[in-house]
Amino acid sequence: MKKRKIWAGLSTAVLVAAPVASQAATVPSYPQTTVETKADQQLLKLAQAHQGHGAAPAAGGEGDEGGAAGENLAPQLHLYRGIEMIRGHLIVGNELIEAGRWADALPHFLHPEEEIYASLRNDLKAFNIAPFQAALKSLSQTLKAKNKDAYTRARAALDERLAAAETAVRAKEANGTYFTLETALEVLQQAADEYAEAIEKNRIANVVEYQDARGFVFEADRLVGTVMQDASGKNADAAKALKASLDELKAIFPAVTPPKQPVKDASDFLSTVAKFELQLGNFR
Amino acid sequence: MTRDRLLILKRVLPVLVIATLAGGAAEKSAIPDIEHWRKAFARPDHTPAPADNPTTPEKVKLGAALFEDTRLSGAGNVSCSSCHQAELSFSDGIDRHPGLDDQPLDRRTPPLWNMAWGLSFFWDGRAASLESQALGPIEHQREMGGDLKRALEALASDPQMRASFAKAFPEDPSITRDNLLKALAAFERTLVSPETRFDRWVKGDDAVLEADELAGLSLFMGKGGCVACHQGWRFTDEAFHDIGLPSTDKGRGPVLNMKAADHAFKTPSLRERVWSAPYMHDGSLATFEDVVDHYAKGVVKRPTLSADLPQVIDLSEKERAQLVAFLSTLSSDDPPRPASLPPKIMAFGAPAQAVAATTASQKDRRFSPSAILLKVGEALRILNDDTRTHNVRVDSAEMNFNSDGQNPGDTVTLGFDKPGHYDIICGIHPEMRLSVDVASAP
Repeated sequence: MKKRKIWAGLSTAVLVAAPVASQAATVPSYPQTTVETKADQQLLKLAQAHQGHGAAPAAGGEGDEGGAAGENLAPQLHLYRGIEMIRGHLIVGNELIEAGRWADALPHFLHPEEEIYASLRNDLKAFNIAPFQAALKSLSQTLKAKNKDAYTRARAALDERLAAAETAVRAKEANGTYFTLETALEVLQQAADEYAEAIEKNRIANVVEYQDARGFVFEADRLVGTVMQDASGKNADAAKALKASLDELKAIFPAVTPPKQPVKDASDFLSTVAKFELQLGNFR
Repeated sequence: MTRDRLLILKRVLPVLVIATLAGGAAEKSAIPDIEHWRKAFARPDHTPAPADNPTTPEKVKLGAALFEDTRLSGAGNVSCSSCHQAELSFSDGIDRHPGLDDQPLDRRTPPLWNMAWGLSFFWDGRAASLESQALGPIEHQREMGGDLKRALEALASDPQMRASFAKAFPEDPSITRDNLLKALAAFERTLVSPETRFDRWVKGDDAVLEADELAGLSLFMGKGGCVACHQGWRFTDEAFHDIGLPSTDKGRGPVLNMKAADHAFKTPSLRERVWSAPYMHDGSLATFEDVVDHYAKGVVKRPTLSADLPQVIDLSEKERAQLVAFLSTLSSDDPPRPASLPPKIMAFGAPAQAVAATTASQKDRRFSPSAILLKVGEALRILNDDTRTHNVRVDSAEMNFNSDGQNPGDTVTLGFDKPGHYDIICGIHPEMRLSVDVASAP
């Protein structure tokens, strides 16, 4: 059974469950992740589920991060979301490198190129932004080489490309603050997906997904920080509420190494993301 | 047609021709004398080796081992591969490597692709062969700080090394300076850069290069003047040029004791350069864009400037981007790994005595089979037979293991000493899952 979360506005709940022949054939040997809606989540009538872990990965090699989850977004939002997700991976990857955990860091440098970049390629062309796939791959190589100096240099080169891409996208947006917050929301929603994937039987079973979620949350926090002054000027209470939601989300990730028991379950995570989403209308 | 109109046409036509060359037309006709250039850039059909040091598998294997051997250094903690890392195109990814005194070395670590075709070695060309070059860094006080005589003694006390030298040099089975340098050079000659999209174009595939890349090729051979020095399939004339970098390094001049050659350095090959930034002898230029910008507006004018360097290289922003697009076609789409390097084998547990009950594949981003039954004491061999990097990871109370990057061809062997259920994932593709149930031995 393949299920998919659909965000259809805050007052609508949609649960789509569709049989998928190929998945039925592979018989998932892991319980599917389902999320129960709690009583305090009346605003958030949504449902979430994911592919069973035993299911075959999508043909073509694109993971959810860059693929289906963002495919219906406007091109500039899709592109900005992708760039910020790449930055989220880099945040958590860098934490692991600083801890000397090169092997643990490697997935967070390979994911951006393997799972996100391909979905951005057309957007980059459309916005006339220089490609940066080679910069991503070069950075990953420095991880394989475990070469800190080379990593620092390659990271600086990539950061320069990402910053140029961000500038180009934002230049086309009249309301930069709202656009940034909208992007942060998209990144948080992806974090919710990753977090749900990480939890099995009330434990963090998949460390990499936990770390993905951590990186996305901290990147969303950084991103919101870049417009917080303007947001506070527009609506101080709403800005404060945004920050409170982010603080709540950050507290779910006390360290880059996950706690034995999740601080919150996946539905609580989604609920907090919904609180963030609720405030967005104040900044249009 | 009036004389005036003819004159106008005469002035306009050359401009139109250049515009066509640089303008990005993807047709064959955009590149003048296309068949000439295809021949000029064609790859050779074999790798050369000197008559007194023919390449043999045994010599290459020994050379590869010596390349990694820290006993060649004075303090026993540096090898050739400390600077020439395979993952970084046999370079180090930084401008200048720190020497043993922790100060940056004078010049950038050059990548080692296609050295077999080199005519001289080091940035200033002071070594005439790969064999003589190999000695330089070993004995350099700031690089490896080695004493070759002592290193040879250390190697001679190692039975495995003695056997390897005997296999590599059956006619002279001894651990000598010459044999060591020959083995290192033989290994380096196997580091041949793979074919790229540009090579497919050279072979006649017109569609393989995009319009901007073809326009870049036209600029490379025309307005940019790059081909004056970057010639042949490796894109180097093996000559020495002052290209106007603001560096005080005299380069080739002191080697020849000739002022006219001051600031001149060997033309670097352009093969696999996407994977070996930063650029130039001092690593001072971080990107292809920086390199193109240097030629367009950064050249320091001085009497020693190369005569092959165009006086003015006037390129628009679009043309610079096209040139960069073309340069990228000379590199593999993914960081290349030479065929001469054996795949890695990583192990966890006690697999040495264990019998491999089964082998799991990682092809097409899935473990196959996806569920395995083993008995205590057995081992599982997981082979990356896919085209992408994978990883083997177990996070459980009984076993914590992370294999690190598992490149295509690498194998991870897991030995299971305790009964139980184990969930194995690829940390890079966490949707890849393998369930292992280990039963107690009967």
